[in-house]
Amino acid sequence: MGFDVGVITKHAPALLDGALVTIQITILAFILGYAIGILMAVAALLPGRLPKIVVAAYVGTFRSVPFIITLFVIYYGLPFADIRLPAFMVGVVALAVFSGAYYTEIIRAAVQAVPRGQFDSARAVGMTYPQAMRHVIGPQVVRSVIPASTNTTLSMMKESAVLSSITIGELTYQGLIVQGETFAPFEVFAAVAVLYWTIAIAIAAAARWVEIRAGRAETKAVLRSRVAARYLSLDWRVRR
Amino acid sequence: MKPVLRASNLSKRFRKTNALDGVYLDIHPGEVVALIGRSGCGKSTLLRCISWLDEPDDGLVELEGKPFGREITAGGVVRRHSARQIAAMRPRLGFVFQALNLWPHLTALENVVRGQVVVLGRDRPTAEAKAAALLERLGLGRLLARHPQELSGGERQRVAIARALAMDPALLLFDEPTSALDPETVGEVLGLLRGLAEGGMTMLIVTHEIGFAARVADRVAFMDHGRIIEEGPAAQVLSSPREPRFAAFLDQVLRHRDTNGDD
Repeated sequence: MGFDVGVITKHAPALLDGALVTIQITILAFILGYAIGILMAVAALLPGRLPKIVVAAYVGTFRSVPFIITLFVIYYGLPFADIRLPAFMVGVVALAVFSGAYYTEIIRAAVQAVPRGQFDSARAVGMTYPQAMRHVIGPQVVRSVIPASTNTTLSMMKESAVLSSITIGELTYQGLIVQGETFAPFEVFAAVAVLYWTIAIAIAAAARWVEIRAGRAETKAVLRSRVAARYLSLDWRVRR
Repeated sequence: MKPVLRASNLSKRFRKTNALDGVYLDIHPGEVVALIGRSGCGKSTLLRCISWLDEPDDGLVELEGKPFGREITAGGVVRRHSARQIAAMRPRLGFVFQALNLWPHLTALENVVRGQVVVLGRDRPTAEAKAAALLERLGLGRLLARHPQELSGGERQRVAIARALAMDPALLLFDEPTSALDPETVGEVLGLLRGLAEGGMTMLIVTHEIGFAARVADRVAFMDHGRIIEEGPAAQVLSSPREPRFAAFLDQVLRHRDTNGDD
C-alpha cells in the first residue's frame, strides 16, 4: 500500500475550499482580535483601577482556559442569551476574543516599554497627547509589536483547526470529511499539513514585509537572523 | 523690560518631602542663568515644573508676561489651563533633557522637522530647510539622514539642541547638559552654549559643574532643599558666596576637583 497521490488530486477542490475558509477566518479573527487588543491595551493604560481590573480579568480568563472550552462555552452559551449566530461567526468571534487576550498583553507591554522620556520630549515641543501617540510613541510600538504578534497570529491560525468541532468547513474539517470518504488518512492529513504550512509561511512573509516597511534601520545580518527566528517560531505554541 | 520667565512660589511635594519649597526666579531676555546645587536639591524638578511637564502643587509660571499652566482670574480664583492650552504655549520653551530623549525611529533631520510641522503647522519644505540650516550650523550637515543610535554622544546632544531651537523658543532649558558626555565633548558643548548666548539666546542651565557654570552663565542661582538660597552675578557669587551652605558646597566641590586633578 503506497502513497496514493490520486486521492489528493481527486479531493483537492474540497481541501482548497477548506484552506480558503481557514484563511478567511484567520484574517477576520486577526482584525477583530487586534481591535480588541488595542482597545484593551489602551484601557489598561488609563488612570484608575477599574479599567485595569477589567483588562486583567479578560486576559486572565482567556489565557487560562483551553481554546476548545472557550469555543464550546460561547457556542453553546449564546443560545441561552437568545443570540443565534452562524457557526462561522461564532468561530471568528471566539478566536478573536481568545487571541485578543494575547494581543492585549503584547501591545500593553510594548507601550510601557517606550521610555517615559519619549513622551516628555514629545510634550516638550508642544505636542498634545494624541499627537505624541501618533508621531512618537505609536511608531515605536508598531515596530516592537510585530514579532510577538506574528507568533500569536500563527498560533491562532493553527488553533482554528479546533473550529472543525463546531462544523465549520475549514481545512481540518474538510480533511476529516475527505478522510471519511476515502479511508486514506495519511495522504489526506499530509496534504492538510502542507496547506497549513503554506498559510503559515504566507503569514510570516506578510509580517516580514510589514516589519521592513515599518522601516527598521538595521543591518542585513540582524534582519536575516530575525527571519530565521520567525521560521523557528512556527514551533507549536510559542506564544510569548 | 518684561522677564521671559517669572516663576513665583513654585512648590512641589513628593510624598512627604518638599522637592520645591516656594521658588522665585526671574529670567530676562538674553540672560544665561546657571542653576546649581547638590543632586536631589530640586533643580530638575524646577525645570519640569516651569515647563509644566510636572504640575506644580502651588505657585505660578509666567512666560513673556503670560500665565502658563494656571492663572489667577480677576475674581481671585485659581484657574488651571487645559492640556491643550498648555501644549499650545510649550513651544515658547525649548527643553534639552539630560537623557536627550531623541526619537529613535526618526532621522536627525526628521527629529528637528517633526515638531515644526505638527505643532507649529509649518509646511514641510520650510521646516526641512530650517532644520537643515540649524543642523548645518551645529556641524551636523553631513549627518542629516542618520538615526540617533548612529550618532556619538556629542552629536546627539546637538540634534537635541537643534530640535529645541527649531521651535523658535523664547527660553531654552537645559537639564545637566554635560552629565552624559565624555570630558572632551564637554568643552564642545560649552562652546556651543556660549555661541548661543552670544546670539542672544535666553537660557536656564541646570548643572552641578561649577566650572561650567562659571564659564557660561551671567547669573548663578544656588538651590538647596527645594529653595533658591543665593543668586547673583556668576563671578561675584562664585568667588564670594554669602550663604554658608553655598560656601560649603563650593568648597567641597572645588576641593574634590583638586584632589582628583580633573578639569
